[in-house]
Amino acid sequence: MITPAINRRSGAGIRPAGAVGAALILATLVWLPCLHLLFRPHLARFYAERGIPPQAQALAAQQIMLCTNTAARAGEIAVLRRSNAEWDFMSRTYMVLALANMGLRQPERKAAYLPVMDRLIEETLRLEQERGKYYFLMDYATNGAFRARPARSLFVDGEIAVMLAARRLLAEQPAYKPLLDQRVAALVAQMRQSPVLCGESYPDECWMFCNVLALDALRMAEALDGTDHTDLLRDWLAVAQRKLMDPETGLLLATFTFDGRPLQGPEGSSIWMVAHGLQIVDPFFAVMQYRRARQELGRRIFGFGFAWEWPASWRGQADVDSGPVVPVLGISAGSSGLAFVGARAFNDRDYLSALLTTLNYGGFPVMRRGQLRYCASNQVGDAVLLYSMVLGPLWREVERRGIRPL
Amino acid sequence: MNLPATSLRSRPLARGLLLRAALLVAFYGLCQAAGLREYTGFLSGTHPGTLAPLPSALLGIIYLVAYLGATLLAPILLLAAGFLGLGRLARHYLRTKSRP
Repeated sequence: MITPAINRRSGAGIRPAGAVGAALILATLVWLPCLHLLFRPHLARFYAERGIPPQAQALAAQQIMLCTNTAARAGEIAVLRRSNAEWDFMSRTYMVLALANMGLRQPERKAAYLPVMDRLIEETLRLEQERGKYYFLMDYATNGAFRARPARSLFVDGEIAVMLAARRLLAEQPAYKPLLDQRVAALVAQMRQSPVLCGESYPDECWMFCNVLALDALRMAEALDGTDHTDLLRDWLAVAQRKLMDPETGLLLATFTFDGRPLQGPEGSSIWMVAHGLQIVDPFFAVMQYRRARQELGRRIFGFGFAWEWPASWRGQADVDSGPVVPVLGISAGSSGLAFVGARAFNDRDYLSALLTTLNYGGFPVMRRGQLRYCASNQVGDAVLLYSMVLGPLWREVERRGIRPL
Repeated sequence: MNLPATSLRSRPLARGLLLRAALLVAFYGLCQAAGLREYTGFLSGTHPGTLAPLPSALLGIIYLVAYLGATLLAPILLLAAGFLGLGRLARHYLRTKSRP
């Protein structure tokens, strides 16, 4: 029924602009909640308790190619180092960790993965030897003096120790034992000098991410060689829970000084991996940190999952770790990428599915000749994603070999 | 279908929406064919080595806009066109039903 009043105004039953506007609003209300359905993943293609799921296999094929093809590797490393020298280093760590987990998942493929791991480790050690201790650090590392002596970066020592230990947990390599012993001794010495038992990644700058990975290296050394670091681990947990937590959120701080003065509050690009790393240090504390991080930083909208870099109670600025932050929604590339590790480690399937939906939509995957990569990501991002798809067996192997109760 | 003049006037509106949707999809198709997807690395703070950072990021932004246009806007325009068409049919139905 068309009323005469409406007919008088437009002469067309309903005013055209009004009709189009109403149709557009209705269409938006229908489309936005449906969009995620087109990108929702079949979880089994990405995550499996045993074996290696197809998408992880394809991502691994691309990453292994980048590790073994000299020209492609040089190009990719140049891309990473142009943005951040740390990413070059961390892509190695995540790749070695991913390969160790893949080897434990597929023992019959171990022989194929071990040479790639060795190549990465040896190249990393050689570069550190040849180019110096600042090669894998950002430029500001040279601006100040390390407080602990000798001056070393816990970031570099910790991740090299984790790489060496992961390789040895997959298959013993006698040449790596003394190298691991040296790094572990350096980690313990650095951490013991700090009033908050945390080593510096940069001069007078301690990162929770690096310190938890250092603790993981100690745990892995315990499992491999029967060493005992329970005193340090127990003391570290007590100090961290007393002095290195953000009181608003109950989350561990991301960065603080050698004396424990907070520099930055909790950060998504740190806390997801921290929670995962704590799984072999203190599983209960790890679960609590994940739950709080999920509550403070994990978000979903219209079926798409993402993560904030900072909790609502903390104002921070986008930096090289957070990656670009999408205005209004607050989506952080760094935090969202590492949220995959947290969600997978704590088997948070709903959040994982929502994160994957976002990855399928906004990660711009490209599959060529069985090799998968995400154009919106980079090699370190893809290595983190691969690690999130295969993690689990390495931590179980550490526990199986025996770590001391705290 | 023998529709009254008032209903016929909403046809160009729907057609306009369909045309805009088609243009958005075509633009996205062009960007995809030109390989601009490669430049979306700016989202993670990296850029492929073939171009300087600024042009590389600009190409990435163009691709992103085209992608959002094709996946967000174009379906909304299509649905809106469909709703306009349904509205036209509903009005026609009501009018014919109300005739003595």
